[in-house]
Amino acid sequence: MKEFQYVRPTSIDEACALKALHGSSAQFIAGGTDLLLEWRSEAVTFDYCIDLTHISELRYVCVSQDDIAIGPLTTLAEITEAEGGGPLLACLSRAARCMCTPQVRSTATIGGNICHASPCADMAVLLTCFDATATLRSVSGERSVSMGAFFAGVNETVLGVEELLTGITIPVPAARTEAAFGRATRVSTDLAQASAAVRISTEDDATVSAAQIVIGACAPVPVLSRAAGELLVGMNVAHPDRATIETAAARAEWETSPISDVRCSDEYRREVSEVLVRRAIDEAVGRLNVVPAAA
Amino acid sequence: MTSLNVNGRVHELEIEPHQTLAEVLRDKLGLIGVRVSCGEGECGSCTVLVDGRPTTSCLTLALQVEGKEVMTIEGLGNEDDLHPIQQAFIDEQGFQCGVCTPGIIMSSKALLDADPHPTTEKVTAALSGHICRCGAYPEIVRSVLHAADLMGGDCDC
Amino acid sequence: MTAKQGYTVVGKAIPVKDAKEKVCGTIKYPVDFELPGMLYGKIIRSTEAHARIKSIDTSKAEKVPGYVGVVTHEDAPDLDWHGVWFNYVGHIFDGIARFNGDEIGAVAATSKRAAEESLRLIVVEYEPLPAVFDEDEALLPDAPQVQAAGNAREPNVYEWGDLEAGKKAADHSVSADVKFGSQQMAPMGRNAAIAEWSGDDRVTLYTGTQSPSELRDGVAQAFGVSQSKVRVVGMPLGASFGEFWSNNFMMVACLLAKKMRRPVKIELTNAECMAHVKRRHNEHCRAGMGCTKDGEITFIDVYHIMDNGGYGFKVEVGYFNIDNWGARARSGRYECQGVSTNLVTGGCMRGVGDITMGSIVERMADQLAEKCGIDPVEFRIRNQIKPGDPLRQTWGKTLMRGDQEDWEKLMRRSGREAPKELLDNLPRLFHLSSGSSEGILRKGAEAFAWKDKFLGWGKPYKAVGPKRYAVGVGTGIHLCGEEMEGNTDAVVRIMKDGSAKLYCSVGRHGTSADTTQAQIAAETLGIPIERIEVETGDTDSCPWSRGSLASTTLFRTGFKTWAACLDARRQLLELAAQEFFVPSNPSKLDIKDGLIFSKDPACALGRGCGPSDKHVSISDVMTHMRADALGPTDSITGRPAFPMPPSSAFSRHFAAQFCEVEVDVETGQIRLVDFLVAQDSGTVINPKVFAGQIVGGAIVGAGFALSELLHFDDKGAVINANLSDYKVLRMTDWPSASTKTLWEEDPDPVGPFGARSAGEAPIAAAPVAIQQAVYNAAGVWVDLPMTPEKVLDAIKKAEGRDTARSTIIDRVPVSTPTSAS
Repeated sequence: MKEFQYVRPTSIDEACALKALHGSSAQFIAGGTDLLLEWRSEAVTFDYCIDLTHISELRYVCVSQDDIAIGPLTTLAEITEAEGGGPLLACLSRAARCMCTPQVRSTATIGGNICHASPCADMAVLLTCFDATATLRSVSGERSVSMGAFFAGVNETVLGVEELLTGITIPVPAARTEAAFGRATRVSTDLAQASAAVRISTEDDATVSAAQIVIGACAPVPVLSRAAGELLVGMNVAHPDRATIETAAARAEWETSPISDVRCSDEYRREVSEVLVRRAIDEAVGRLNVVPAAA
Repeated sequence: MTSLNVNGRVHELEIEPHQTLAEVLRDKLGLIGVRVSCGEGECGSCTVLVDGRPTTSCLTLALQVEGKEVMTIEGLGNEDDLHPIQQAFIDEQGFQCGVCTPGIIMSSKALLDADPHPTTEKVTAALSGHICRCGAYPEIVRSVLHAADLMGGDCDC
Repeated sequence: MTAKQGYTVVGKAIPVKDAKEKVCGTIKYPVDFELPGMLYGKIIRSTEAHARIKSIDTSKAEKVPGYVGVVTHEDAPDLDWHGVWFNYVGHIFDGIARFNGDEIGAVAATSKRAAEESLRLIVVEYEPLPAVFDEDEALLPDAPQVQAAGNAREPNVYEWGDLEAGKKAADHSVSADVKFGSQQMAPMGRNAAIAEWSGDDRVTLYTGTQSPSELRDGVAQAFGVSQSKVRVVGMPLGASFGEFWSNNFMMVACLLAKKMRRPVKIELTNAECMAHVKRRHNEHCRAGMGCTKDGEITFIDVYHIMDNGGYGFKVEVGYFNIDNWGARARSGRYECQGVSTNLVTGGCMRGVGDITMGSIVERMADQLAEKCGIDPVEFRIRNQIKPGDPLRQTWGKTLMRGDQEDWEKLMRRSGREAPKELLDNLPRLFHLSSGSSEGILRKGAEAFAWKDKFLGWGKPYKAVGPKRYAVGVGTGIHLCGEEMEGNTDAVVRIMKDGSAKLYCSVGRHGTSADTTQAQIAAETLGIPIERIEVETGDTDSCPWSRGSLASTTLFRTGFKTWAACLDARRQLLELAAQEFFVPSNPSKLDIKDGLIFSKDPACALGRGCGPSDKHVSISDVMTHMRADALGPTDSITGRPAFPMPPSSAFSRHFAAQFCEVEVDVETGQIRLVDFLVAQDSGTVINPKVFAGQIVGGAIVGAGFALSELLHFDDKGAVINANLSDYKVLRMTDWPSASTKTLWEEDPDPVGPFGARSAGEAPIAAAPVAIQQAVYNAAGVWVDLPMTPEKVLDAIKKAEGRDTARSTIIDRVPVSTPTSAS
């Protein structure tokens, strides 16, 4: 077990400069709830630990008409408490409440969740479903990456050695939109064996104009099935067609490539992810059918 | 030297970067009420409050809480001056072996500070990060509800 | 020993003695304990399941600042030591590793980090040996042998009646062939062993143990020193459930301390506690059961093997369902056999045998009940043991010197007489003395509204979408301690100021034994409980006593506590009568609140010591005795004056549990909706402690039913020695708000104030109730643990559905898949 040095930047620029200086011998730490375990088991080693938690400019939830901007250092607890941000933020909030434990949520961050890029990372599934964009910055400049392109494999992202995730932006569709999320676990507090996120938009308040279906924990990265989403387009949410929903769920599952591990088998992941997609579609449809309260 | 604010007192301590908050609280400040069981953030026995939020001290680097307020069970009450939550746990016997107890009491404090009259569901959800291997869950829930009564909903304890 | 009306502290839910320490976080567990000048030790563990140790190279480790030294098999005495109840037999180290993670050495350093770093740099060379991991394979003639004595222990058989006739007489028969994986204790708080040698080969060992006396013996045996040179200080520990009795890592700490000539602390990590100490056996149960069409059981036939892992030597798993179901069954045969494997030592965990084998016997009974069209509550009441019935588990027969009459003569002859009430109600050996499942089944069924929700076998009472709701009932049984490996004992000292201290070697692992023993003492002595202290773990002051295992403590240790206090009370009253009362007749006197008074107006206080003319305090009596330089002694020591009847030969405790489950038939997930935990353990000494024990047991049993399982890789290493992947139930998994408890207090003729033990039957009942409820909800019997995947697989198989892929896929146009990103 090696030692490491601890540095504490107080601005994004300072953090990027430190990372540029130390490169791959440095690790960013936010909540540390994944990183410290990996360091102890020697799955990762580093000489410098750059503590991001004192950079207040990375911690925010800003809602506008066009998008929801979330700072990567926003804790999962803060996400569970976020209000007034519309259906997508509400869905994110409900999902965060199912993750890990209240204590871990106090320090674990949304940025940490997606940068650690575990195949079962729940925020990753949702942000992919919501077509979020990640902003990455280094001393050389800034770029945006769609969440669909952000994840590269098991615990792998496209984040460069010197890059810092500085923003997550979720576009708010103009059309009426609802979202739902579900996860399958062995007992109540557990990593997801499989998860599913669904986002449905309607025009004329009844006809599906766009739908996005993502399955998590069933492949190295979240699996976005455009074909499955497209199957829902045109469906009337006031009279949802069961065959259409079941077919979309089956299509989404068909694109996954789950493995067997200590939590469950690949077969079970296939079976239950299809159920989760179907139920998430039902839930989103149900929410769309609730007449919104007068403003 | 690092300044840590623990239980209302500021301590100047030599802390190495890799040392967890749990380690520093136990080994440097003698606060053995911060129990370490699983050491990986699953069981909650190491729970302390950091700026009022229940936090897994075995997975938090001590250096990260500089400038924040840390509270452990020792800062909540003692044998001569029990906090109402501690009294409630005695009244309802919300423990058996006692290892998980300080952490659960700290999470309960955070819950009752935010919600002085929680429902059973809220209590259960707030304490979902705690494993009681002895299986005292019903008694623990009763203890927290009893604590809410003792605290009357309006005392700033 | 009959009704408990009018007691002062027995039956009262008084706060436990260490309540304040626990809620304030000041109670010290072994991990909190330090000695000046102490070194920190880490255990060198084998990464092979079976191997000879060729070399242990410490050359790199020696360069670590703070490194002090190592011990290996070359330092260990060439002596076997025996753990409690055959749960360990072996050397401290002998140069052979018998499971992946086995102790093969230890390193000491001046700090924890230096010890960890040194351990990392130690290089071990192995000569791998063939290994065996499965209990059935280990019985094959060509299996690798784990121990020099061979893998197979002697089969252990109990039988009664004519089994072949019983099979022929059965109108209905069922069978089962089920393997159980391991549950693990997963204790909170971990454990540590701190050892210090001094003087002439004297050693003190501080650790968390349920059995201080036996551990003391083990240390003496491991090192070949006199028992009088060994002191164990048993400390409070987390929920041990059988893990921490006498363990080899404790011996390792002693060995390291001996060689380093300094105190050494070895603190186990959670992973070590979960993977490298002990677990519940893997077990394989092959059984059959049959009954007449009226539901009378004609035979029970069980062949059960359990794996002892690397160092266990148990010959049978320990089970009492043979009594619960066998007492009234026409015939039966139970054969049990222990087998060694190259996995971490398997042994007793709470509810041993009855949670596994018992759940199979209960399931077969349920299947027979269904065939007969009989309600499961009714089927149990009809067939289960009642007081006076013969016991089939007759371990103790080998110990008895003669028959019932001989034993009763022994009881009556011993020292000063045992109380008349005990002698007038001596139990009939090898028959159940008291208690049964009947009362708790009837009352439990009523309290649970069973008749409203049990609509028949395999029928949920409610369905909402894919969720099915149904109820189930289960029973469990276990013994109340046994007399096989030694008696319990207790001693009480009355202090000059009228306070008292009780010395009884018990475990402090959450059962609050110190409090309940103090309640027994307080009631017997008439001294307020606040003035009674209890020493539980120091073998220098506690008499040798069987530890807190096999549900021994409340019944057997409690009996000795009661007996010791009766002796002290007799001495007090004799002295008081002689010095203070006229006429001097101790049988006229009584003690209450520490005050001695006469019950008979004809006997009065002759000489007083204070303002009262009715009583003298214990303190007055003691002070008077101490002032007499020619008197016998300055303190009163109470010792049991009569033997404890052999409890395995007459006493059992009973659990009945009712539960409601919700089964999601599309995902296989089970949710516990409602639970009623009922128990017959005779008189309840402390209702809050009791309720905690029975509900706590149910929750651990439910974990075994739903999710707990150790996974091993192909090298015999545990791969989920962590609480992320070894799933224990949390608050959100248990219906706390609707958990009900009830109990029947059929008083025991022997137990202190009629109390029997409580801790293990409840863990055995929970899995049965849940399994049956799942059957009623979803129509499938699922083996344990009933993970969502196993439940779903069972449902799909029962429906004849393809278990591999959803058939809906056939409707999907198969085109080139769109890439996900």
